[in-house]
Amino acid sequence: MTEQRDWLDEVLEQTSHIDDAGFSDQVMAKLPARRQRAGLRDLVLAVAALGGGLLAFVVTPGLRVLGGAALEVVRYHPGASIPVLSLLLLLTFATVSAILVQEN
Amino acid sequence: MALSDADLVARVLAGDDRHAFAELVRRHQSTVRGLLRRLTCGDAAWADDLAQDTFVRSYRGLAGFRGGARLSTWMYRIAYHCYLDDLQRRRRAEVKVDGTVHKDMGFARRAALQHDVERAMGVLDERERAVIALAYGQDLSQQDLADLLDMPLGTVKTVQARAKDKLRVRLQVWADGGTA
Repeated sequence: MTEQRDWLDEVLEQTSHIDDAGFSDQVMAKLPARRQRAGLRDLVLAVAALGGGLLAFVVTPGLRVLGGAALEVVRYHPGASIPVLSLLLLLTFATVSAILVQEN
Repeated sequence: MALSDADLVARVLAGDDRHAFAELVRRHQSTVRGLLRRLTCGDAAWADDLAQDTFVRSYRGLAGFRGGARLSTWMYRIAYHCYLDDLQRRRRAEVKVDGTVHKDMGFARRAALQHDVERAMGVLDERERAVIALAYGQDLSQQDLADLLDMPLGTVKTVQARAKDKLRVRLQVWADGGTA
């Protein structure tokens, strides 16, 4: 066989661009449903963290210590109670927002 | 700056980024559909069905894509196997595949050439058709071709030469630029 290029090679090399014309949209519509692994993983982590926290409260004197500390702040430093509670609320809001953003 | 194919693949794999995959489809749809039109001898509807199947299979199997190869080469392999699988199904259903030509032919010379080439592919057997469809316009080396078709390099060259002899007769009208 010869490696020399001839008119037939030129003819066969001619390819036209094929317009998309909605083809990509049809493909995207046929893709399987979005994977849910990330959402499931977040849920498992959240439940594990909550369960671990509750267990720690029950097993250790955490609730008593935290409750006592909160009462002391309110009783002896009433001015500090509002910033502390605000900070706790802010942290809670930030955590929930982060989880929602990740799921979306 | 446009993201590379590798970047887009990474985004799809990391976060199931559908926009990234849509961009990959847009980038490669023309060459994949063109390849399949030649394999199906110009049957645009059949080729587009196979092309859709190719991209869905690509999406499902993207984790298996090795970054060492070009994404286009990897997709051509999937497209070729989609074609072979469908051909077997059709043969089992006793549907004759004899180079049906789509009627959506434009008046431009280039479109006429494409039409004639796709129709001429009907004179080739399956192996010859695969070699010719992949050898031209897809920017593949002969070694790529041999790997993709699981054929020795020498066989690829022999099959390609035989196929060209058949096409040379069939496409003779284009020997002088299609002015005859």
